[in-house]
Amino acid sequence: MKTLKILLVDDHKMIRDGIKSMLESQENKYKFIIDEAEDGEEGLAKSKANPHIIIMDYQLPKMSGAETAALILGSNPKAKILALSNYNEYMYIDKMIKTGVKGFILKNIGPEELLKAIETILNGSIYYSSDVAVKMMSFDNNSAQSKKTPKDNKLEEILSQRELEVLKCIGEEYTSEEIAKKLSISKRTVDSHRQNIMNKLNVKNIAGLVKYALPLLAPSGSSLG
Amino acid sequence: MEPRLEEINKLLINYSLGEFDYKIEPSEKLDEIDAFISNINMLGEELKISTISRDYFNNIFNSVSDMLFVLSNEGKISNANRVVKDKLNYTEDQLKHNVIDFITKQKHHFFSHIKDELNKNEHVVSFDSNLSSVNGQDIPVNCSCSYLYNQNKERIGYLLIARDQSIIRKYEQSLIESENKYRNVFEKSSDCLFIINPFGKILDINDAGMQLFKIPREMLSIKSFFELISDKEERELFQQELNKKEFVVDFNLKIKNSNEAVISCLVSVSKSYNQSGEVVGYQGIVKDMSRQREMENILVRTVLDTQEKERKRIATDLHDSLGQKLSGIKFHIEALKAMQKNIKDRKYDTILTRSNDALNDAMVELSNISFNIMPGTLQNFGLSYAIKELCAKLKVGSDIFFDVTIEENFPEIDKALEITIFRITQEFINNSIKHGNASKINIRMDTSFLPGNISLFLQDNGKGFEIKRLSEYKSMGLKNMKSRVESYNGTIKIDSIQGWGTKYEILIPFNNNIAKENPL
Repeated sequence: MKTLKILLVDDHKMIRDGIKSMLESQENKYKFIIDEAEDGEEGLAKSKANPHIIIMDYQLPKMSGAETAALILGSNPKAKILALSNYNEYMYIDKMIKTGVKGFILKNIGPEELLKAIETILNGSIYYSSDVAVKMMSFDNNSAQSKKTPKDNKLEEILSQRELEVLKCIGEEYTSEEIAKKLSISKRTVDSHRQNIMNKLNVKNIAGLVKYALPLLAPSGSSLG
Repeated sequence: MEPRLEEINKLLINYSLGEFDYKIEPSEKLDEIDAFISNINMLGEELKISTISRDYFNNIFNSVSDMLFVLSNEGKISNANRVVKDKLNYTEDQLKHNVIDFITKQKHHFFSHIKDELNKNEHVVSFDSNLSSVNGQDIPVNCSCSYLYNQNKERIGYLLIARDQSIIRKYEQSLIESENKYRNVFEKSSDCLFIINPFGKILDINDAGMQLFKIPREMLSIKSFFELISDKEERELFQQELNKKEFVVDFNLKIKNSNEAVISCLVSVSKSYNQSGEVVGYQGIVKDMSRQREMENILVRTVLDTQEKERKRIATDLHDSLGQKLSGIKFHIEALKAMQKNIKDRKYDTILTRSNDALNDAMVELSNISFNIMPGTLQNFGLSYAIKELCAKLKVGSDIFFDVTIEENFPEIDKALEITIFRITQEFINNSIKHGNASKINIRMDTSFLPGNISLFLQDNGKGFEIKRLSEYKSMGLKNMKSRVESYNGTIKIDSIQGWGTKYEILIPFNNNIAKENPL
């Protein structure tokens, strides 16, 4: 029987237990090895063990699911993440999908569908539960999409809020430890953020980062120009 | 001068001296003067015939209400009537043979003034002066003085008539005082007071009014009060009321001053009439309510804000706590159901399916309730996405067509204002679907219509309602919507045609200062 290594990232124990129950009901098909994380940072750390799939909630303490997914995918673009949410509002879905997760399901699915979602993603496809797919079609997002035109390549558009904060701290000559303390996150998370920023901005070293960080420090109105 | 008039003059002087023999010959013109001459001749005859005793003259002399003095050529008092003694309290001895000057305020100039004036060929001199009583009290008098002649037409002295003016002066004084008092009230009032003619031309306005309207004095005469009322409908309604009623009390008007600032005011006006009962104008008072309105707005916003914060808390609790727990339970039941399937006992399967369905319904309802209370999208992603989400939700499983156009890069605005605009949209759509049975709803929102303002255009093709009922704002929803908009100094225009649909046009200024100014 095939073994599936799954990482569950959700702050609610009831949800994690529920999902475990559902997976247990499918043990005639797979052998499941389940790891759990209560927040984004723990999720980020446990993702280094390379699970087959990461099931991740949107609403997480400290660091949102979208932020965590972006960090995981930043360090391992091949990671397969299935987003799981209580919110079927479009922007939550959109935010998650934009980070590169491979699927989005709601917290009302049954075990068969859950397994189908996992299998679909492991086969290299994308899975949305039907409610999510309907929402994506019914949401009239013409102007919302045109808002993100390529010409708008501002730093704020490319980097997440947290990444901007980290970049700013780097410009202010903080060390990774100091940044971690300042932003109440772990040093490893800071390092991940830094690596992702370098990837996104296509720079090779800290000097390259500082070039981007300096305009963020200039008081508004007296920027470089 | 006409010689006959000179004759008449002489005759009258003679009459005044008790000489009634003098006669005037009428001319041959037989005009009005001749008619008068014949009358006056007849009067002389009658006077001559009647027995006129000296007592009779004394009687008259003493019974008139004015003070009478007979003065010698040197100005000494030779006779004075009883009124003089009553008013001035001098005895006969004190008065007699003293120059009149001693009872006047001027002391020296009184008599010389009379002499000078009469020398200028005047028959009668008339002037205002003061006479002093024994105890030094001044009595304002109006004096008339003329020469006295004897039978030989020689001047034998003067007749001085002094009319006591103190009561009239008192009336005049109190009239001036009360006029000043009213002028003072008018000028110093902190409310604007104004007088206008029937066409609204401003005739008078106090300082408070000038400050309120910011009209330069020189512009006043060409300004119409009615032009200052910024809203056309309000202006017409106000003028109708004014025509119908004697007075209008506390009428809500928005007045635009010369700086283009719109001030909310309470205006009370009453009509003024002339003697023939025609309306000659209006007088009124304008109370500047902007400060009070602003306080009311702050209060409304604070109440709403508190409500919305509480709603947010409830929605979050429902969604993130209860919702998660329900999901957890559902997962367990789903797992049980899946395992039950393998055993294939239909009885258990039915019960599990039912509980699963019931739980599903509960979760959908919870999600809808918490979205209606406070959408997560509104809190996390802003107004334009929240409106789109609202439409997307309602679109599923219904025939309603939504046409939503929201400006690209819609600015980030104060969260409380975002919630307000969302609530208005939510209320409109609810009404359209629930009461209006609409199948098409248009939503347009942008900031380009009027710079600094959000314009929100909402339209449906529903049943519509009678607009007259609306002016009474009986509907709680509409009333709430109006007070929400007005608390942000916005305007809402509602148009509805029965059978065709309803249209709202809303303009709200979105300078983020409103939230910062809030002192509460």
